[in-house]
Amino acid sequence: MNCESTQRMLYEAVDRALTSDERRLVDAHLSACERCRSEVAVLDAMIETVETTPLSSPSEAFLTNVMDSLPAPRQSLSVPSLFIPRMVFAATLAAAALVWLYRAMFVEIVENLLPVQTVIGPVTTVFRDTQAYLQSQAGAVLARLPEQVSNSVEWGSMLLVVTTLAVGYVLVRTAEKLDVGGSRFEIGRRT
Amino acid sequence: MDLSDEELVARARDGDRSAFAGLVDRHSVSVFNLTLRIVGNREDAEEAAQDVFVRAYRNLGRFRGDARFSTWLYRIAVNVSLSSARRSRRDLSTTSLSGSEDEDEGLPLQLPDLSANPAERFEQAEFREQVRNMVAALPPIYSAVISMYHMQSLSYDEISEALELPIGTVKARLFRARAALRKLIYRSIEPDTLS
Ligand SMILES: [Zn+2]
Repeated sequence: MNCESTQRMLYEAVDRALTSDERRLVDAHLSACERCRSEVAVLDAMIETVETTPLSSPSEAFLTNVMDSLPAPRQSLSVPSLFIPRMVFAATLAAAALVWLYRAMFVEIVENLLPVQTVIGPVTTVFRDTQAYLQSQAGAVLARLPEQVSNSVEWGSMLLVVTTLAVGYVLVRTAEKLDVGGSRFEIGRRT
Repeated sequence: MDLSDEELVARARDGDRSAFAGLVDRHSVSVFNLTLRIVGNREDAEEAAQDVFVRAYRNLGRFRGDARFSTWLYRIAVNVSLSSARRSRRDLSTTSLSGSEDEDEGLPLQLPDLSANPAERFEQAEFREQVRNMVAALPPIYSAVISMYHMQSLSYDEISEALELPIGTVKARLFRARAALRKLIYRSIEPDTLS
């Protein structure tokens, strides 16, 4: 075995035990080569020196400095801080559900508010078109349900409320998962 | 009180700053020694170590406990000090000791026959100190692996987690890091032996 492969094995021997065959080869070379023997000694001394590096301590003010530079405690993302936004969100959904349930009444109110019955501006047109579209969509969904269910006003309203609540619940849970206010932590590894 | 790291983390997360102070107290020496060996000077190393704990505090919510807290801290420490080292070393004009990462870090095979026994140099305290300081003169990633493996006695697993590298890559880096350190030592011996 030559010096090069011997030295490679010497470096590897720092990490892993050599097999007995490798050990024998290395020993055979070392007994004949002074330069590699000297390299073993340097390698051993180097590792020993590095491993006995005395620990340094940071300055005495270290702990105080760290604690002083911590950001001010911010509200944790637990239940209390989400309570108000949740309530506002739920109230908005409830209001939207009510508007939908009593849409006929609202259309009537809006129409009565218009000074002249015949004037139908772009806003009311859009409103009516949207309403018609939504109704047709809802109708398409309801048509798939058993007749008994789709024909009953109570069932329809209840389905609507349940659906609204379910969508609201999913939205709230999604909002909770978003890290609000936290700084993004990136382990930047440049190459 | 001898609370575990995980218990202290849980308390700190609930806003208990003294629990976090406990964590800083417990890990400041190991974090500082890691940053010191990568960054190379006390002042920058202390600033980096401080930054490590501030970042850890900010991100406590992200510590999931699937790694040990110390390993997680080392990961932050390595990242902070690698960028600090790159910054400061870019500022300095390259010294004769600092190797570049592009440099071929092969084994120091082309050693001339030395009349003096180089291993004897290690008997001088001053030379040993010089060798320890050379660790920080290596390319930062090499300083990091040597410091973690040979000074902080971390396992391959822990180093691999801290560096987010596969174990095989960690071993290869260590191998090259030792060869690079050996080269620096050789270069520092050479002038004497040739004179
Ligand atoms: Zn040889």
